[in-house]
Formats: sequence, structure tokens, C-alpha cells
Amino acid sequence: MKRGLRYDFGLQALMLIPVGVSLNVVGYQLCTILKLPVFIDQIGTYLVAMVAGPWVGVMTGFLGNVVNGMLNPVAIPYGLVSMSIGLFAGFFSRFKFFNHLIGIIVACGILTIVSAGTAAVVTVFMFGGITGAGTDLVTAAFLAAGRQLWDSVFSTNIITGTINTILNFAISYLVVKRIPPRFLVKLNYGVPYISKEVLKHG
Amino acid sequence: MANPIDKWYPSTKLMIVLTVIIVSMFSTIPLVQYVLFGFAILLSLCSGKIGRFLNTFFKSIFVIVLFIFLVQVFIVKNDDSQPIWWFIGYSQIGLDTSIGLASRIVAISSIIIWFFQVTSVKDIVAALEKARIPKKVTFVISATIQLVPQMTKLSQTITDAQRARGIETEGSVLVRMKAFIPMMGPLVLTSIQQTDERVLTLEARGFSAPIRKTAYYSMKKTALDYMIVIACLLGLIAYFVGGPL
Amino acid sequence: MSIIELKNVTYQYPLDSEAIIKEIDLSIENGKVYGLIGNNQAGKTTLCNIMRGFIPEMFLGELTGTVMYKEKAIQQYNIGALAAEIGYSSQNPFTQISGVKDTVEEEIAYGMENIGISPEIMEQKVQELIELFKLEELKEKNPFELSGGQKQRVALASIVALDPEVVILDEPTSQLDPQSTEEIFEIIAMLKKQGKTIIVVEHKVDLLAEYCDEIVLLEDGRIVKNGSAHQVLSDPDILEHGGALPQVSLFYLKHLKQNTSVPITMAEAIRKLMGGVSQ
Repeated sequence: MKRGLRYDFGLQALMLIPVGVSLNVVGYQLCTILKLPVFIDQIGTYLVAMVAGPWVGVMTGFLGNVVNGMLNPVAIPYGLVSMSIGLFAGFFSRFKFFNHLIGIIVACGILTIVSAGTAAVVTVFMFGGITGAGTDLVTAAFLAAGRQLWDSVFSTNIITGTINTILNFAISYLVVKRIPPRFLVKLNYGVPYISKEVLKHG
Repeated sequence: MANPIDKWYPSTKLMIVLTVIIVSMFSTIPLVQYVLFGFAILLSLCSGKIGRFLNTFFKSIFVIVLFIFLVQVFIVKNDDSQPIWWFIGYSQIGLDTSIGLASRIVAISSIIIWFFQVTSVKDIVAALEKARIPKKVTFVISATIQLVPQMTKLSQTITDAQRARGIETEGSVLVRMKAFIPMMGPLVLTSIQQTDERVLTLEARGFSAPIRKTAYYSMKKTALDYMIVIACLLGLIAYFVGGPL
Repeated sequence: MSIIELKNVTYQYPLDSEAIIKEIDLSIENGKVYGLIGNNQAGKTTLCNIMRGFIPEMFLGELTGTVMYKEKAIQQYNIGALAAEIGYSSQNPFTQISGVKDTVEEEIAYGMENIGISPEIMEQKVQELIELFKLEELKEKNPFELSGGQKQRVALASIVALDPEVVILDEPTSQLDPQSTEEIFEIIAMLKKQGKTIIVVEHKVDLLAEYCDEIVLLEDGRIVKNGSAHQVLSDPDILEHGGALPQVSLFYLKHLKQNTSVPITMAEAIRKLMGGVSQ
């Protein structure tokens, strides 16, 4: 199967983008009901990045934030975070990191740093460190303890980021493994997720 | 009850948004931001959308602005912080920073909110098609906007079905989280299956046909559109020539 | 002239251990209505996908044998451009909606947009089709909000809009009430009058007996019966192979114990009786 920027956007993959965005929205809605500083709004981005690759993952992340941005423009700059998650998760999937436990741990670690980092960059530059969500309390706590702004925001994001990454990734990974093989076979990056016994028959 | 502003061409309205954003980014005095905010409110009034505008605005931006004030003014330690109580201190620099930040955010966000309230996605897509944006891009946008409400409905249906089977879905945080994952599985599976079948439907409607697409619904630019765009450009030129405020 | 020709076609889905379509030879002649019958795992939908060219391109897997459309290998046609030649409608009404347009009107026009029909002609055709398929009250509604049967009618209208030469319909009336079902078959008859070739997968053999020229019975991936509607639908043997008989034929075969010149529709039976009486 050919891969890469030019080949990843077949109709099958294109159709996954709306699915990914909708999954993100469903997750986001649960978050708002729960009112915790935990965000499971990237399940769609992870899922699509895993089976359709980095570039489709980037589009999913970006579009998700634009859709949210229609009601809350603050979400738009955070598109950078979703896009970087889509990009990295897609490449990890391509290089088969998710097939074994060590790869998963390494990937999640890097994804946490990437998402926390980009989130911190956006937060500090656009909003002076404030996001308007529950995480601000954590940030405020760090600030009150005497840390500088950059530091506090980054630390906040690392802590919540770790939880977020693990949750989002775990849910999407579990779901991907459950996708029937006949669909995975058609996706550019889906084959690694089919269990070995099924592949033997073909 | 169609408002004339709804009929303005999307790129015209976009031009207004860009003008506001550029002016906002280059301004340093908060007064300009207040004026821009007032401008957005005025536009919303003329568009007949003031109610929805304020509703969306308060739900989204207000909270951030409030937090920015509280944190910058009382918590961030600047050089001139005067401690009031425990870790809470008052800082004039904080106040100025927060006013500067918050006012800019308000100005930019409010014009963006206005834009999405007066421009339907259908119009945006029609304008993109006219601008020869590739079919795949406009397709993804249209499909996404249509699919999101369908998925939310589907997730609700699945949750209802699970409740009927005895799984607890309302209540404490833990209960909700536990109900979430069994809902995700069927949701994704059903969606992927439908997506798979829909790919065939789309090809059955000629999606990949290597032919220049035509449009059943299209918009036209009127003289008014051109005038507004020119007015924006002139405004920008005047702003920069007169010296950015 | 056969417009679609399958020669020794065998197909196996990826990851399947067995072929689902086995050594099929089928010749679809121009201008006739074909009924495709058989029980549920027989491979009818797969066969439809093969004839439309969706298999193997969109399903991967192994296809051996040749599939010709208008005497050219079907793989040589662009899969989207083929929509203007071969119309295709599948079973699930929900997934028949493109999901890109938010009114029924636009949904019907969508296919025409893709093949570059001018807006003026599109407007006209959309109006015609809305009348033909009785969709006037629904034309401004979002296709997702329609009932299963309504969705099916919209989907059918959308493919007829492309004016294809061949129309493949996979269980087009599964969600429709008897009245709407009759209406769909009347449209099929109308399409036949326009010279189109139609392939319908259906379980309602009574209607197939009325409207089809030829019947193909599929069992376990192979064609077990292929002949004129009259031949096949009066042959009691088809009951052993997953086929069903129209009520009239069943009546003649089982109750009247008659084996020859069995009528397959009510109208035919009545004519026979009247003919008998006048003698």
C-alpha cells in the first residue's frame, strides 16, 4: 500500500476525518458535563491518526478545533495542539510503535511532552497563561508557589497532559483493536492492528 | 426573516474579520480594542443576531477574560506586586497586562463569533467551490458539519439502549466514565461501517469523476460586496499610514 | 447485445478463507429487466458490486475472470465516471445518503454536480424527479431526518438523475410499504421503456414475476438457474436452491398439480382462465 502525503487522502481516509472530528466532539461533550480538568476530546484524532496516518490525523485535529472554534474562538489557536498530536501519533503508528508495550510507553511519553508543550506555547502567547478551564486552578497554584509563568503553565500541562494522553490513547487504542479486520485492511495504516490469527487465513 | 447581511458574499465578511484582526494585532492601546468590540456588537445588531451573539460570547470568552484578570492581577508575581493576603497580591503591571491581553482577545473573538453566526457553512463551501478549492477539501468540510450532529444523536441512542440494558449512565463522575467506554465501542464500529458503505454511495454519485464540478447552489458577488472590501482596504491603508494606534 | 458480460468470474474477499463468487458466467442483455434472487449469503450483493466495478477496486481481494462493460474491461473505466453509465443503489437507506448536502433537493442534484451537468438542466431534472418520486413535501428537509423508506426514494431519485444506461438496485423496496413498493416497480417499468437495463435484487418474487424479463438464481456463489422469468419462476426446483415462487405459480404447482404452462402472475392466470372459459 502506498503511503505518504499524496496517497493518504483517498476517499476511505477522507471519510474518516468527519468521524474523527465527531468522536472528538462526543468526548468533549462528556468533558463539559464532568467539569474535570481532564480532556478526552482527542479520541478521534488518535484513532484516525493510527489507522489513516499522520497527515489525515493532522487534518482531523485541525478541523476539530475549527468546528469548536465556531462557538468558542479560543479553540482555534489550540488547533496547534491537536494537529501535533495527529502528526506524531500518525508517525508512531506508521513505524509500528503501538504494536508492543515499550513502543506504546515511549510514544505516549513523547506525545505528552508534545501536546503539553504546544498547549503551553499557545496558552502563554495568546492568553498569558490562562485557558478558562479547570487547569487554571492548577496553574494558579503553581504561580502562587512562586514559579514563573512559563514554568507554571508548562508544569500544569505536563500533569494534565499525561493523564489526557493516556486516557485518549487508551480509549482509541482499545477501540481500534476492536475494529473488524475487513475495514482495517482497506486503510493505509490499519493492517498492523489486525490480530495475527485473522491475517493467516487470507 | 432573512437579513441582508446573510447574503453578503463569505469572502466579503472574511475581509471584515481580517481587517479587524490586523488592526487589533497592531494596536497597543486598549481603546482601539474596545472600539473594535463595539464594532462587532454593532454588526451583530444590524445582522439581527445580537441575542445569539451575546449568548455565545458570554459562554465562551467571558470566563477566560475573568480568569485572566484574576490571575494576572492577583496571583502572578510581578515587580510591583503588593501582597494582600497569603499568596494574593495586587499588581498594577498585572492589571495593565491583563487589560491589554483581555481586550485584544475580546476584540478578535467577537468578530470571529459574528462571522460564524452570519455565514452558514453551506455558503462558505459554495464560495470555496467558486474559488476552485479542491473538491476533496470542500467535501470534508461539508461531510464533517453534517456528521457531527448525527454522531451525537447516535451516541445518545447507544447510551439509551445501554441504560435499558441496566447499565448506569447518570450520576457520579465515576459512573459516567464507566458508561462512556462501552458506548464508544459500538459508536465507532457503527460509524466505521456506515462510512465504509457511504464510500460506495459517493462513488455511485460520481465522486471521483475527473470532470469539472458544477454547483446546484451558488452565490454571486454583488456591487455591495466589492464596495465593502474596498472600504476595508482603504480603512487598513488609512490606519497604517496614519500611524498604528 | 450484452452490455455487461462476466466470464468465469471468481472472487474472494481479503481475509476470507473461501471465495464468495465462484466461476460465474453471466451475460446481461441491453434493455432487459433482470431479477437476482437467492438466499441471504448467496453473494447477490457481491455480484452487484462486481458488475458496478466496485469490486475489486474498493474491496481489495482476488478477482479472477473478466468483467466487461460495453465490451471493454470494467477496470479501464474511472470508478466515479462510471456513475453516469451504471447506477447503483444499496440496501441500507441510511448509508445511501451522501451526507454532504442538507436538503433533499441538493442531495438529488449532488450526483449531477459531480458529472458536470449545467445548473439550468439540474434545476429542471430535480423538479421532474421530485414529482416522479413524490417528494414535494420533503424537498427542503435534511435527508438524515427522513424515514427509511423516504431515504430510499431519495436515493433512487439521485441515481436516476444521472441518467445511467444500466441501473443496479440492491433490495430497493426493503423498507417500503406495499404502495410505495408498487410505485418503485412502476418506475422500473418506466426506466425499461426508456431503454435502460435494470438489475434488481429482490425477495418479492410476485413483483419480479410481473416486471422482470429474466431471473438469475444465485446459491452459494454460483448461478443455479438463469433464464426467462417464465421459465425460472415456474420451476419448482428453485425452492431447493434458496429461491421462492410467486403465489400464482405455487398455487398451480402445488394445488392444481399442474407442471406445464404455469402462469406466474395473476394477470396471466386470469387470461388463461378466461381463454379456457371461452373455449
